[in-house]
Amino acid sequence: MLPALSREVLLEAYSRVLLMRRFDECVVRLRDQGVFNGHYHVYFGQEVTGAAACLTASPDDYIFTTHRNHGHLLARGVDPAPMLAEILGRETGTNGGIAGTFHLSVPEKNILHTSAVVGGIMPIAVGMAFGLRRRKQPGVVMAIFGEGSLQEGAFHEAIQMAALTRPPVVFLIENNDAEAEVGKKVGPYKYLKAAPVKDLGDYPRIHSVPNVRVEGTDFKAVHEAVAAAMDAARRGDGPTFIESRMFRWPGQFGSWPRLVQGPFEPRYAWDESSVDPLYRTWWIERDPVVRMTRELLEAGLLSRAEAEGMAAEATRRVVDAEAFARQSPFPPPSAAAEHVFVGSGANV
Amino acid sequence: MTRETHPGAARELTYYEARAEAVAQILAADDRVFVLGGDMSTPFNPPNTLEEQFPDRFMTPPIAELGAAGFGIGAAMAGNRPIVSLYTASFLYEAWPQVVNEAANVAYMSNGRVGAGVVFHIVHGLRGAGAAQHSASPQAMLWNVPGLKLALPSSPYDVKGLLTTAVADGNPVMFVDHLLLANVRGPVPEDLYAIPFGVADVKRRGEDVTIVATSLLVQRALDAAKILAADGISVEVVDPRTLVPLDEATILGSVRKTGRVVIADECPLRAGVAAELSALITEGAWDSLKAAPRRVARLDVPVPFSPPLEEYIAPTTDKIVAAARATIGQTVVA
Repeated sequence: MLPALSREVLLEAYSRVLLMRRFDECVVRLRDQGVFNGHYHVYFGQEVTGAAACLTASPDDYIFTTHRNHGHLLARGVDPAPMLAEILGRETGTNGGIAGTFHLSVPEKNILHTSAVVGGIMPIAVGMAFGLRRRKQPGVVMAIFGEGSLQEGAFHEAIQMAALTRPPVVFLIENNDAEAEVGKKVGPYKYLKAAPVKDLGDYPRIHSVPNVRVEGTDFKAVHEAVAAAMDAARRGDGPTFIESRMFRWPGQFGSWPRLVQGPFEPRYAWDESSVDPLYRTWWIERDPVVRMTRELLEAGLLSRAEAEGMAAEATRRVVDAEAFARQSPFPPPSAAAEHVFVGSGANV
Repeated sequence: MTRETHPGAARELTYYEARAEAVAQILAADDRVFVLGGDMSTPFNPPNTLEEQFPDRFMTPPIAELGAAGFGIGAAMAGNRPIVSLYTASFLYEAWPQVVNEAANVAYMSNGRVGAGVVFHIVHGLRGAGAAQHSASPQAMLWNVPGLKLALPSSPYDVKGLLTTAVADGNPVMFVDHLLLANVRGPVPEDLYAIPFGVADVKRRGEDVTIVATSLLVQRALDAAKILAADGISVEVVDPRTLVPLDEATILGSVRKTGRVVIADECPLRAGVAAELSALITEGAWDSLKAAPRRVARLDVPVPFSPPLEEYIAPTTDKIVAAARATIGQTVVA
């Protein structure tokens, strides 16, 4: 469902959802073509959670994310061109080619440090929130993580400290494996992959941190839950833990995703016959981009032609971003020896 | 900088008194600073005299070093200057991922736009009865992590001035204390002052042998120099004070003058601080060397409890004396 927001706001959020999808599609293609060398953690199927959540964050708020960061940056309004340049290791990238896909960050958008260790920035997010309050600075910290991060000790130490200090922090867990019931992903020699808890909410519960579970493809549900948590944090009511559940995209093959049935098409929202029956469940029942398209059409906020036009616009922006990235130079080798520290003085 | 240049240093304090005074004056001067962990007012454990003086500036974290270290990094990003005091350096290993994989990478991964101005305070070394899990000297491991500054004060004067600089730096600084320095006395100016990082201190002038030493071993090197002086051997003691950044010029200048060098540091010998300094000296002052550099460090074993065993593995004054004699061919050390 859609929240009671203006058409303008909803369509802007939708344009970012489309941009996330086109961006990931582009990177998968670049990797297939050998242009991009390395891991890439796609955000397919999670776009609506990112867009709805980041819509609740003001410019004063901070966002911490992980190796799966690209959707969050785009949701925050970061230009895809320097993002793609960063992923290709170019001088014009958001981080000058130093960070790559794992560590995209944009300080001017209050995205300061992106860790590719799954639970790594959880304690940092809590300390940041405490630090803002201590300095009487505005801002709530939203920490967005995958459910795998809950298996790391860093999360448990961090939520303990959040429970003790009650700073303005929101933990948003994107559980992109909702189909595999937590605790049941058990097979021969695979048992260590599964957390022993049946309900991820048990983790915050033992620390008396409020927890909410939402359907991650439901824009309204995510928006309302995150907005309430952000407001609570802003009021001084401390941390909230939100589990947003979505389904695993069928092209998800670990670090080597494949575009099953090619790019997203808006018409999947109104013409089921255009969908490959093999992937019908995904496109028709689970894909949040199709769902949001359908909901905007049903609410009369968007026409089919407008949906096609917005998807084409997202494609154009990513095509431009790709051209910018591919035309950008690599950094000079000497750049590797810079910025080991901030400020003046010795650098090594 | 030499000891003679220390201004207004008539008053003497112990090392831990100087450290406590530094913390108190830093807290009074800079409201960005708070301490997460031990209160740093006593050699080791509470009473928390500083916490009584600054009740809202000290936080006692849960027994969660990893969480506390990351908390400090985040608080620093929000414009604070936290001192995360983990005390016993062995506990740094519980915080290791946050220190070496997060804090050390913040500036670099952001392409120089974000700093993590957090001081991690640890107390390293053989302390008497610390045994295997409370006696770590991790300075070589830390030195092998680009992105961390590394300070090892050795005197009351240095601990105060280096702590001032550490807090002001704006980057992650490992501030490495030694418990056995706690009661060392020395002149300390009353006002707050800063000792710049990357400036070695020649703690004693000499002509025959250079001893480059860190932390507590600076004190042992000074003791060794007195013993050797009685035999007519003139020793120069160089204290780098910070390993990151490192004052290579002062170290190499001293070795070029004397032609003989002993390097004394307490972490295990293998791939240790002394090894790296030995390589630096060999590459940088080869033509001046009259003898091979000698290293005095901890034996490459975990730390035993029994006092004679702990003594056996320690880099002692006697071992520094023997190594210095070996460089001038007086005896051969095994």
